[in-house]
Amino acid sequence: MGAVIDTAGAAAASAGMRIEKNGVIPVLELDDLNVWFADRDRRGGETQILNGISLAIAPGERVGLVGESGCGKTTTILAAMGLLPSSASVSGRVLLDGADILPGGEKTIRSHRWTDIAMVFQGAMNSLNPVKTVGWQIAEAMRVHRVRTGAAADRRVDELLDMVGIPVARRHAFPHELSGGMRQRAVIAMALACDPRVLLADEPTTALDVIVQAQILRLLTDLASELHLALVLVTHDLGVVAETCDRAAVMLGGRIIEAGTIGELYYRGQHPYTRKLFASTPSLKDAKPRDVVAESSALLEVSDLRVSFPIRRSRKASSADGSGAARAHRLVAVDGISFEVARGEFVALVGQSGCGKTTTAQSVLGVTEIDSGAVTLRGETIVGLRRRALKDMRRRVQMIYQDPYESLDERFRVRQTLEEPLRIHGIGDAASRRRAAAEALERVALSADYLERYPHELSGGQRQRVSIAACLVLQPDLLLADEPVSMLDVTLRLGILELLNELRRGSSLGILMITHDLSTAAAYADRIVVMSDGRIVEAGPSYSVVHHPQAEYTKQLLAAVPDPQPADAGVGVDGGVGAGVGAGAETEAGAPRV
Amino acid sequence: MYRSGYVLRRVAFAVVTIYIIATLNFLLFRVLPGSAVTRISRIPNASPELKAAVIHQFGLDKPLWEQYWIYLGQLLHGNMGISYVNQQPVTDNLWTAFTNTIPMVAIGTILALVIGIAVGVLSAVRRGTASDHIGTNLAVLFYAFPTQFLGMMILIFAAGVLPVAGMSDAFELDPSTWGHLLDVGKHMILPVLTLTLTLFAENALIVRSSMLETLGEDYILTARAKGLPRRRIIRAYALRNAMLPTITLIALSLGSIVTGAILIEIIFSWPGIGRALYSAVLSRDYPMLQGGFLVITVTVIVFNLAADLLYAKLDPRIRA
Repeated sequence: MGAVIDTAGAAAASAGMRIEKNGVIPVLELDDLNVWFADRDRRGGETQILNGISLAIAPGERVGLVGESGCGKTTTILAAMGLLPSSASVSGRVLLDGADILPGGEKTIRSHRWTDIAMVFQGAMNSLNPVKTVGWQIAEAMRVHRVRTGAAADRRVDELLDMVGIPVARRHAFPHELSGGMRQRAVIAMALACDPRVLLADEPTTALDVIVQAQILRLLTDLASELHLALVLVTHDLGVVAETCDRAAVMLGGRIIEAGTIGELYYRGQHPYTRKLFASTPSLKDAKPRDVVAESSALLEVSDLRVSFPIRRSRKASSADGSGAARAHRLVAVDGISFEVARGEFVALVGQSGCGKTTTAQSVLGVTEIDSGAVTLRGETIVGLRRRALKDMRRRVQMIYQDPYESLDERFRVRQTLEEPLRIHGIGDAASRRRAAAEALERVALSADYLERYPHELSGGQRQRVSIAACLVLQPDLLLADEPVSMLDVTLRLGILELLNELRRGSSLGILMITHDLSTAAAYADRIVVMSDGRIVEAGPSYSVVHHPQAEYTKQLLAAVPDPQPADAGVGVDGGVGAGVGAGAETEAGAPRV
Repeated sequence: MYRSGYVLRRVAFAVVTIYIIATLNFLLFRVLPGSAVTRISRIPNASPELKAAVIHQFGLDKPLWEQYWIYLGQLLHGNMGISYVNQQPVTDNLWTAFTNTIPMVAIGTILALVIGIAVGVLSAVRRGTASDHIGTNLAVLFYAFPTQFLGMMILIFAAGVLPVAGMSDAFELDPSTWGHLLDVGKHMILPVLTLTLTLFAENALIVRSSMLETLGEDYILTARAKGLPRRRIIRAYALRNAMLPTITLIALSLGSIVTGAILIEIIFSWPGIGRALYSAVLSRDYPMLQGGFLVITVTVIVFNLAADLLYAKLDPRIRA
């Protein structure tokens, strides 16, 4: 470490000290960084991805890089580490302690990787080599850079694991044996192996549950101040930035359009896009007392539903939670839940991954076998129907899927996608189907021009609108929406949620939305049903669930939700989650989720 | 390293498969029209008595289930019967044939693996460059050639330069050990070349696509960010993970090499298992065929078992 500082310091002196206005010398500085990518179809053609990015980070500072997908935020940090593919050309400077590391090419950059600048990637699931143990991978970084070897490296691995909250005994675990949160902790431990001074984190918590996310963010914040790290956090989630960072830079179309402290951006955002971004981010505070839904007759009734799945052999997962053994190799996914959706009502089923919310949705769709209980739609039972009756029932319950990139057939034109359900159910003739398709498209606010397009010609938001239209053509009674916006950009989410909200108004369409995002649920749903471990822990009007939570679990969940409003930043991280960290870490260590 | 259950289950599975194959193998030849006796009785003036004597001698007059028990019992003792054609034990015939085939097939396969993996890795790592195009196109070219055509072409072009038939020079009397080995080696060049060319292509294409997939994984980017040298990333990260699906595919093709060698052995008159089976089919030498089929299927199963075990050793996620 000492040697690294010395050489870098000498280089900085020769390059002339660069001092920020507040007198702190930035450890990492991007200076007028431009990146072009060679076009694949045009020979010699190039597209500019980054346009004059300048950013300086001082030791101990935490800076957010915010923007929607395709804005160039990931390209920025990849460029800072010289990790762009060979089809990219770069101009500008990346200054580490004032010395440009780019001109020397791969050779000079490589010596700075991990020892000066380390990185945590989004794919907590995939950023570790699946065939090597976690400890081996942490030690490898030290060995390759000759920072520490042998017993010293071993000791350091233990220290690091301890620092990020992984039991030291788990160093011999393979990545697949750890839960998502544990894996991300291991990746952070690996990033710290060579005592870097800059940590670049690219969506480090996007794939994680909200409670685990709060733990990881807290860990990053603590480590940054403890080790005097300069932290760059790349994310699309303003709540995450507000809770973690001091400053943020908002990116759009390859440029930084605005930068400042979180408070400045939130309260006095200059650029219209900044304001739009904050406006689109739902907050728990958006939950307002609502009028009782006019039509209160029940549409969907689920009573005492129980679903379990056979488990192959008794694995670690079941032996760890004790109750698994008694249940004779069956995993109880849904354990006796009851709830209702009224006509024209928007209900959100909220819970972390593995809580049984998707299984509940599948039972309502009639695609999974249930152990006991009843599911009725307008008083008619859904469960145990014969094929013909089931087909009719399926028409009345339609599902919107999470990923609009997977849920549409790439070879179907929009018109075919919209007419297919009608054809399957034998509704109408060719002309009336065509009319129905056009009408459905209109209801989701797309013009008839889109009828002849293919999915690849549509944006993510438009795709999701088309999948909603494909549900609407059948004039269903109930829409099941499984995380309908989690794959979409923040500014597009608002549109889809408003659309769903609009659709049920003045009609008898009920909407059951499954989501992990409590703030989205709070902003749009009339009622929230909170699930945990296959049971409903709390249900009620959104306002009261958010502001007067009864169940301990709901309180924990609410505390973990990141809030875009900076005033609450301290409360969110320090207050509620602290207690949850220890308990959460224990369950994570025991049971790998599959 | 393994959980004991995994190995046990795999081995048990292999044993059961072999038993089923042995049974099917027995039944197959009983339901075929035309028996060995029909053929022998075509000898002019074969009296019904002679026919009956032959049937009795081969035990074909016993009830089917009794024949089955005898067959299984003998099999356990390593006895696969007597060849109808040369009256030698099938086991001995097969043994000779196999010892002739194995060096040729083994050398060809290993060469094909080494060249195939090298070409595949190189094409994937240098995707889109000239070396990728040359490697991939060559592989596709050889993959598309039928073995017999490629073999014939090689035979035509190399005739006169290298020996094209048999395993050794029959006119060289009393050669020294080294002289004999050298002679066999010379004879082996062309069959091995044909085998290598047909096999390397498949391996190269499989390895290339598997490598490309692996190179796009997040852990490769992480490894680069870690500042690991390029060679280490390719070896310990990309190739190590890319080999996992590749092993299964290669093991499957290894099993069928023995049968694939039939064409090559016939073209180059190599006195191996392929040619032995070919002539056994022509002369309806049932015990020989039965034994040959059994040995080939057992080879396939053993290779698959080896692949399963190797896979589990390389991939920690399988050891459950």
